[in-house]
Amino acid sequence: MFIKLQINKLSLLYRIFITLLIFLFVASIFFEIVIHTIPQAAYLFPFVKKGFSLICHQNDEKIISLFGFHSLVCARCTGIYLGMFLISIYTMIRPIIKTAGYKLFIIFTAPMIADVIFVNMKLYHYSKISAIITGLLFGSILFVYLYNGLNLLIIENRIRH
Amino acid sequence: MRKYISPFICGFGAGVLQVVPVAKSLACCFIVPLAAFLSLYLELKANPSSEQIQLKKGLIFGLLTGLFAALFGSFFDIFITLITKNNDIVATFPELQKMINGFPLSEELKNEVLRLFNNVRREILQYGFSPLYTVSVIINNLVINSIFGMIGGLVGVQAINSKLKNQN
Repeated sequence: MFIKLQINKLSLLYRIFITLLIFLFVASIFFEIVIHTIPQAAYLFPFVKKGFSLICHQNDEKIISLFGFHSLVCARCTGIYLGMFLISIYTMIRPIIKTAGYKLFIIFTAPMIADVIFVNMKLYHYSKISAIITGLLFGSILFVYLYNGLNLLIIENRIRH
Repeated sequence: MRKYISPFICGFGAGVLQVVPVAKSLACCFIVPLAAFLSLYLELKANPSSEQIQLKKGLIFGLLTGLFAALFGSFFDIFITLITKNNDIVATFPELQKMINGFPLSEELKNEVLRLFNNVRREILQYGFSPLYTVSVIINNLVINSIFGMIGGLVGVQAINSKLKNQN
């Protein structure tokens, strides 16, 4: 009961801050749009591209295009971060108060792992749509865990003090 | 230091894997978060306990794994560039040129950006070292690996705690 009450107390400010951080991350995935808005950002383009190479293979065939603007990460990674962003918007309106068990994590992660394995086994061809959808599922559950983790971390600190 | 031996080992592993092209394309963005999770798991194996792990510990282990991965990853990246006098920036420069030329920018700005990166490319081809490239690699690695390490640590603690709870 105590934990539940504490979790409910996670302020809107925290939630807005988390969503804003994820938004900035997602915006930097579509850095070409940022350049379109702020031309001087072009100086940073190769460095941002190189930065994303740490977390994605950036295979040309797997990169997605949105209104002619190319993403800096593959369709699956875009799906993951978009999933996180969408759920973060949802939590701004309705904060998550239930903690998720690891079984839920497995259920949401399994389609993505299966897709990766099946594509690598050449059971079917790579599809950007399936990559985005499975990525979205994984990203959304990842955010739930991350949100829970941040919640519990704040509670831990409050108890300690 | 002994207390943080598992983030050191896992961070080293992640740093190495980050510069291996095949591993990078397979593991995608999971290398550092998995390394953070593994560091927590190794810590639990080294010091068995049925008590739940604190989130703070997960965060610290994740952060340290990310920082060690950034340290080793940057070192290997810079060292390999120094020896081979070649890297991503050099290899993908024609592609980069094409992309920048395709952006809706003024000719002056396009030329300025390309001149800047041509200088970096020339320095790498000539000396195998570019200060701008080195700084960008270190900053990129530190920021991205720390964030992903902390995410891995926070999620990893919950997975381990959930398992411990079921066992108890």
